[in-house]
Amino acid sequence: MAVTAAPAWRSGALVALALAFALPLLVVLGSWLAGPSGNWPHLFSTVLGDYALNSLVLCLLTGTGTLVVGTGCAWLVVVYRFPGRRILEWALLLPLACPAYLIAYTWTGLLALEGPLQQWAPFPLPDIRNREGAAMMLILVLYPYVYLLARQAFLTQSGTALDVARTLGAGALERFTRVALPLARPAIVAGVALVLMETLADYGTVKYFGVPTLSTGIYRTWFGLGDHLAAAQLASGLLFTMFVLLWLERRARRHRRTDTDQKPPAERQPLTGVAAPAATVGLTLPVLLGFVLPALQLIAWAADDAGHLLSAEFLELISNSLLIASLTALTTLAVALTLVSSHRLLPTGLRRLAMRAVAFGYAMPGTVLAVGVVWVLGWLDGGLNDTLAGLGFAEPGLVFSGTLFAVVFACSIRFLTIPAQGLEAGFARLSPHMDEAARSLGGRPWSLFRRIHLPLLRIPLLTSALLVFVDTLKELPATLVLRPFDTNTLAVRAFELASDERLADAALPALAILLAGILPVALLARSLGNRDDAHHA
Amino acid sequence: MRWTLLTLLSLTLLAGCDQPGPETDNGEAAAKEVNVYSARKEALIQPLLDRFTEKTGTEVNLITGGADALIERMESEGEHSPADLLLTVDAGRLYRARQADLLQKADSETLRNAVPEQYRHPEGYWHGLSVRSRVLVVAPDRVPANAPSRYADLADERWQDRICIRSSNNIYNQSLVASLIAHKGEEATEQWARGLVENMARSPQGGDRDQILAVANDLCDIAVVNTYYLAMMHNSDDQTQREAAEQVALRWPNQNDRGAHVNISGAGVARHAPHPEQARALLEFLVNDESQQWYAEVNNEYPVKEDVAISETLREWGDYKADDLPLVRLGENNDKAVRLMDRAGWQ
Amino acid sequence: MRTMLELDQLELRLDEQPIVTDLALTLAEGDIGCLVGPSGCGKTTLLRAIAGFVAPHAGTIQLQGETVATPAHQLAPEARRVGMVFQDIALFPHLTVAENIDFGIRRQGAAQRRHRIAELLQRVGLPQMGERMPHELSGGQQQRVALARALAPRPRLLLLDEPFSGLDAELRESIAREVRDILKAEGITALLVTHDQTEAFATADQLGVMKQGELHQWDTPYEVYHRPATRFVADFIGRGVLLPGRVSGIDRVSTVLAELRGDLPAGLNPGDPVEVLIRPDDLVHDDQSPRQGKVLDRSFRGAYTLYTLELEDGARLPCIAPSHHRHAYGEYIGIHLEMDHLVVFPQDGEDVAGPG
Repeated sequence: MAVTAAPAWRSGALVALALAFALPLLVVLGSWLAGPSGNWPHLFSTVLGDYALNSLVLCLLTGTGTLVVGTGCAWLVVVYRFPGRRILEWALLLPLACPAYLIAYTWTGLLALEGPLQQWAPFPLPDIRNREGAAMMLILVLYPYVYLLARQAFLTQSGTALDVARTLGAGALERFTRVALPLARPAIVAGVALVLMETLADYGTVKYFGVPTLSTGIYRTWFGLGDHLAAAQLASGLLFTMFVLLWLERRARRHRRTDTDQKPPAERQPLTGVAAPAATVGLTLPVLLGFVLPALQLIAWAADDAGHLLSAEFLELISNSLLIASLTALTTLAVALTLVSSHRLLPTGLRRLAMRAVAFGYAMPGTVLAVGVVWVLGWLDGGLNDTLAGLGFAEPGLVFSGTLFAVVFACSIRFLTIPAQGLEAGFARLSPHMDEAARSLGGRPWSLFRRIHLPLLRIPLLTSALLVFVDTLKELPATLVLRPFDTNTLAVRAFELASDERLADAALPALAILLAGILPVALLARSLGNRDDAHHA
Repeated sequence: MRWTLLTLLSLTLLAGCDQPGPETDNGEAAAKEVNVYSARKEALIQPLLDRFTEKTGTEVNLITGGADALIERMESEGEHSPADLLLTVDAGRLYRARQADLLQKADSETLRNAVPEQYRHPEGYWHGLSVRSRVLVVAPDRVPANAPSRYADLADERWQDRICIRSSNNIYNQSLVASLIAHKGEEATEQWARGLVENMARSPQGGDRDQILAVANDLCDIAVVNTYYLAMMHNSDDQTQREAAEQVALRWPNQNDRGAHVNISGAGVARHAPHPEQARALLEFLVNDESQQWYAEVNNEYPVKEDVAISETLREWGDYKADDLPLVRLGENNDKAVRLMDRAGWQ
Repeated sequence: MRTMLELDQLELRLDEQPIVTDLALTLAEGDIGCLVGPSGCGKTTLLRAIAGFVAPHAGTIQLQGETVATPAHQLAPEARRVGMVFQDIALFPHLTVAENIDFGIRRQGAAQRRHRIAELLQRVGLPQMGERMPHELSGGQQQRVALARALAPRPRLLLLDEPFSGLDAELRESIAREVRDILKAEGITALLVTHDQTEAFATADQLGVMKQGELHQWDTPYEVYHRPATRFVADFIGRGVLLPGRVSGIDRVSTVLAELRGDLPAGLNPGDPVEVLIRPDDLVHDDQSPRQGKVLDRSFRGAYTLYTLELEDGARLPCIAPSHHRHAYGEYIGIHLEMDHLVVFPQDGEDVAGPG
């Protein structure tokens, strides 16, 4: 950049930051330095095909499903008026609070032969414990990612573009597919990318449903075969797939801009005739299936336990969960802002690479990531102790391992991509002319960021923070492995009991996760509910 | 800059968070605590640990988690690891921890007397705490009384599409196959696994309780499950679970030859344990009569120690003959078992 | 000529606030109508109602004799075949120039579409720009693409909402003329709104002046300029002053400058105080004239100079003089009135008088 050369130290610090958060990627890619594992021929000739096929089909189904449900719901909610729209607008976010493994357990319970639904249904209910069923479960809890980002994009889209399309004779469907959808594409892609990464990393659901995927395969290779190397190399395949997908998408819209002047969107049109109740019912369905029914099942299971809800121990579970979730949200937000805005202000190849590299924690199965963090923190602790001992000081013991720091660090690596993607999409909608205008007014990059970007990105910032918060509440494997002594969270408790096939006992902490998730979700909905806010942002 | 500062601040705070551990406490306090890494779920160990604290005054700090992850954590923490005692729910993981040199010998007369030889490491690196057997559960109205009577029978083509068993990812299935490899060799076991896969009524899914439910609901006729799952269903608060358990019958396999396959939950003292004495004391506490009875009552497991009272459900099932294969062999054969199941197409 | 657009007793409201009241106008096929008025006068809302985005609260909108909007029923915008060019241009940023133009004609055959796109690009003077992305174009170019896009499906009526407001002043008039030529070449009926009368004069066959939701006048630009229907129109269109006077006969008014003859509005009696509209071009610089005004201000406009003169009684008048006539501040110059149209308003402030 001829205009402002970034001080070398600042670039260095940014790279170091990105490096720390690109850790899982590095560990995984580093595995190839040791040469291919001896187990590859075995994996190739036996299970690898199944793993890959199942993962692929799962991704296709979940990706398509969340795309259709998330985008469709967002569109209806933004553009039309129908009974219940205002409630549905935020209720559609509720399934976000439900961890995928929990919904898998509850739906299995609901659909079981001896379960409550089969008693009413006049026909045999389908068996969901298969690949397609797993995709259904993932769609039910993951579509809100797409919904959220798509809705935000639709809300901030230029209403004029849609009006133009109308005057050119484009009907409702055409306006959606030919104008709104392409304009919202970066946001929708960001949403679907999150969904795909969640899908690839999902372990609980596919394991319970007995669907062998790359993610269960990595576990099995690691722990069953005891082959770290092959496991890491498998994981790299998974990351590579994600990388290629995202790269292809970026390439496809290389020259296309999607930033529009932010004019107020057109008035919501009332739906008439059967369309109105149809929309109400259609949009109630995801909420019902992804939240209400599972929650009712959990309530039924937890009814006997309700007294424990206020016990000191239970309150501690809740406060631990909230603490970890808020710290992770703050950390990821700060790191993502630093990386994304520095990339926007002074884009260089190195920073671009750093941006890409940090995105992959999300696609890592949680345990693999956790073990990566365990290694690195162990190495850090070892180094610190040796150094201090060498200098004649007392050894401090484990400073990083087994602390809340380790948990927050791992969760931050895992969820960093949420604010990173969200902010990138947010930045993409800010016209670059605005930056240029501000720069020409003598604004230095930092003041530009603080005075222009930060206020304008309020919504994506808040959205990402709340998403990370809810995701961390649900996070399991990393917390499980890394937490300090006697530190339990709701997710840990729920999972321990559920995986021990004690669903009824797991119901209470599971419900608490849902409840704790509702608050930020409601906040999210409220903050986004204001249309003025949305298009002034 | 505010954000960065805030983050730095909170990170510093977190890193400085006090954790129970040898280095952060003075000597006296350290003498009164013990740190446990447990793959046994909190609910299934905490009451015993509380009892231990009550009796000895030693504080017990606990983290639970997957055994594999805990082992990785101990490994990376190295000599600074605060872990004193590692608890797992299968022998394979104890074997793996020993292989990774994460355990130390804990030999005492109490332990030797309480834990039968096949349920502990020959040199005392780990000891079994409770026993569970992997048994057959059948629909009595659809399966004759005399067959199947052995694991080997599961590969018999007369059970085509009639068997339910969970995924080969499950450690108990891996251990079962590892034991078969030890007894019959790899080739015969692979033949058997292929036959079993042929006979599966559905692709493996769910946990052991789900297999029992499937038998009760006519989805299949035979299931392979751990004993305590069936026992817990018998004693469940949930009526459907109890009813399902009533509808099926337990069948002890291989009673006329080597006996039913068993596995243990067990524990070993960590190699770098800061409190090895307390760790051994806790281990000994876990095999005393009172604790042993607790396992049996609460989780319907079989005590390792002989002559300890067992739960009513287990009593009703009567005595059985257990395979006396040294459990070290399960660990040794584990990766062979996984590879073999991969080849056989056992999902 | 057939009527393209007919508005009758139209009342429009936004959030229950009346925006347009009792508005009627007709636009003949092939004509270009233009609505001017200060911002907030309701002209954009009127366009949006004709396009179909705002439902009338009362009255009707007819296109080619077909009623497209009443309070009870509205034809959807996409079914009206009414094109619109929006103030903010709003090219689809994700489509190329050609794809933008193609947007409204996707149902036609491929060859036909290709031909139409090429024809329009040619017509708006951007023949090589089809593959460009909108952000690669200048403001004027974007404006032309927006026009081409709206023209592509050959709408019955084209609405243009402040189409030149984003352009710099020099470009405005020339583009406005260009647009007029393009519209005429396409034979299209158009209704344009603007707050800039230069644009309006450059394009309009029919000119309307709106204020606070009311259409004060709807006529040819010549008539609107020379025979403003209301004091507001007189004031808003063209430069001019109202000179006090008094009715001195059935067809005459005496002022400080001269006694003027012409048609007076009905209801005025001799002796009534009135005001007379004086345009700069009504006041001719004449060195021979005994009437003189003191030069208060002058502004050089190239071909002519616009003087502001003060009369003996303090009245101030604009006066156009050829620019080679140079006079200093404070100098007295001769003038005389040369009026084709006498425009008189009663002095009591009534805003409803009109030319005879």
